[in-house]
Amino acid sequence: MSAPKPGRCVATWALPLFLVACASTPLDEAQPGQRPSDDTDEAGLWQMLEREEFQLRTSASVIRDEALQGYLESVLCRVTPAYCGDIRVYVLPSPYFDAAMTPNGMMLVYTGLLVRLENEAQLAAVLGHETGHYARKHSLEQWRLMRSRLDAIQATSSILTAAVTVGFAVPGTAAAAGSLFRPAAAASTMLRYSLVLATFIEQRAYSREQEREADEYGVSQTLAAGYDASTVQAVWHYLAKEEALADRRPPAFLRTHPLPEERERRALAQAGHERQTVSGEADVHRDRFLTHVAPYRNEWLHLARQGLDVEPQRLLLDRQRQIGVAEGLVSFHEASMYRVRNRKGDAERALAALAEAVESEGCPPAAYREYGLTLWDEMRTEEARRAFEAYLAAAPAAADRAMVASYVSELR
Amino acid sequence: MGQGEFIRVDDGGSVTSRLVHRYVTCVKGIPVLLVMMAACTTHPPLIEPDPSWKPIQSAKVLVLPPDSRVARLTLGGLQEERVDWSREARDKLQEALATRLNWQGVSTVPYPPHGDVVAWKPEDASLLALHEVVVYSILAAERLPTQRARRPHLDYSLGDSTQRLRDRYGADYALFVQCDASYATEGRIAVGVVAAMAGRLIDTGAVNVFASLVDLADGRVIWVNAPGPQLTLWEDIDVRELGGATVVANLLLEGVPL
Repeated sequence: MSAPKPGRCVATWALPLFLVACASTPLDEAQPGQRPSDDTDEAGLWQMLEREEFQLRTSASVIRDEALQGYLESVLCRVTPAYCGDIRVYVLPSPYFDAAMTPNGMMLVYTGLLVRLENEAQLAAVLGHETGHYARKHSLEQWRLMRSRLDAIQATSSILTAAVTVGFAVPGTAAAAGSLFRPAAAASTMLRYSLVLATFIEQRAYSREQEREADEYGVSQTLAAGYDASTVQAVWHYLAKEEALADRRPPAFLRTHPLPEERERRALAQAGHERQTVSGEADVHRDRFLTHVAPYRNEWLHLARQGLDVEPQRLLLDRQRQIGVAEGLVSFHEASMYRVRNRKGDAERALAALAEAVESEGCPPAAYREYGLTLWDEMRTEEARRAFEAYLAAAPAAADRAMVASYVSELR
Repeated sequence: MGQGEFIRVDDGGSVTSRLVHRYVTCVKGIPVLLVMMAACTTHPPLIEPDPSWKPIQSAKVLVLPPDSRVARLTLGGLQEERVDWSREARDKLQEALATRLNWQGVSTVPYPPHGDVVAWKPEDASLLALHEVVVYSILAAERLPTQRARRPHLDYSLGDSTQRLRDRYGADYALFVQCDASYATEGRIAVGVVAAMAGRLIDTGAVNVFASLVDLADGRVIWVNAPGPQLTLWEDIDVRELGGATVVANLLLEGVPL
């Protein structure tokens, strides 16, 4: 299922002139440890992205943590051992569920993705998916597609321009008389814009086909690496729900990725079908994954929530509970969500969530401070003071220690 | 670059060229040619030292390998970088720049002294990145009419981490060059000719270069020159060849205060 079906190609490019451009040759899979030869378009793509990677390597936005980095690389090497030495992983902050791969082997993993996954098998499927883009040279395919389409558009419009212009210059023709010049020029412009639009839509369809291929590659590799891949569909199931609640559902034909519902269905079918071929005990390695994400979960949840309205935020927090994140942390975020929205009744909801947070396991120190401030607003000064004291005890080295200590003495 | 040369680009038969000639001269040719010529004129340097500034006696200049990206400009207008072309341009330009400085009586030190592939030392790579940021600021700010009139210029500096280069190579100044070049495919040239007939100009390849001279003792940017884009339809500025690289190096180092 690598190259797009010729049928669609013909449909998009109705003009016979373009049929020639549709004949694309499938690419060979990337050879581990090999660079493309210097005189190729592929090497040129690598060069462009190497410059980007150079910038990223000196960028302050990359999350640099040896433990996390080492863990992600170990999962990558387990799921796609062949390309272990060709791919570098960079963790970047983002609210959204996203990861990316460049043609030269620079893999970007965004925190919004890590915070939504439940276990290592799902992570393996994602890393495997991205490696699939590398292995099948999807960027190069996209580049060549765009190049051939832009060539064709430019050639057509030039031929039309030349015809109109020469007609204009030759005395005695209709165009020279002026009757045809304007309509012909307008038609040529219209044609050009339609072709650009058609190319855009075709590019999206092509991209979805590549994503399907990468999904399949990812699940295959995950199974082969001994993971229980039946958990992968849960990711798509969740994302479909979040998308629906977030009201961010572009029409299917404009998407770069297939609908999450389709990906869920495919992942389920593939995992069920291929499971029989893999022997031995399969595991999802939930704890190992959660331990490595735990130090960052608070921060990453804050960021992930910034991309969402309250309804999808609630879904995200419910998912955190499902994953097994400590109630103290989840309730703290719930309170913050209501406090920021600040509609009627939200103050009470925030207070209730904070009361829950400080009584629960895994409560971050900031929750005590927020609890204290909220109680103080309610003039419950005695409880507020106790909450501030709890904050100072939980975070003795906090930057705002002096400020909170002043609240305590004021409330005494 | 007269009209005769413009017509030369069109390789069609006599009928076509007569038509082109008629069209170009009568209808829209004059503004087209004016724009093309304007693109080829040089500008004064963006940063110049004070008139009182004097270079160090018998100074040595470290010629850094130009940061070069050379692309093939496809029919549809994509800039498709070529690794081999970029490397040739880097090496030829580095050689031409040194030759030009030597001709002027300035001695040069190449970086790196040996080897074909530039393996940047990590600390030098970050200096290169810093330089790029500083020079882009200069290119943006010093082109503003308010800044162009200002004398003396604002002070720009890379900081004293440049001393490492001075100590390692025994050089007093460093010459940084960036070169972005693109060369049109035959299809693109044909499209460009058609567009010119219709009175429009499209990109048919250009060399964009800038050079900056940095005092390695304190990191100060002494001189920056950014001649406007040079159109590459004419083959004498093929930076992948020593001849073209020499033309570009001479243009870049016009008025270097050494």
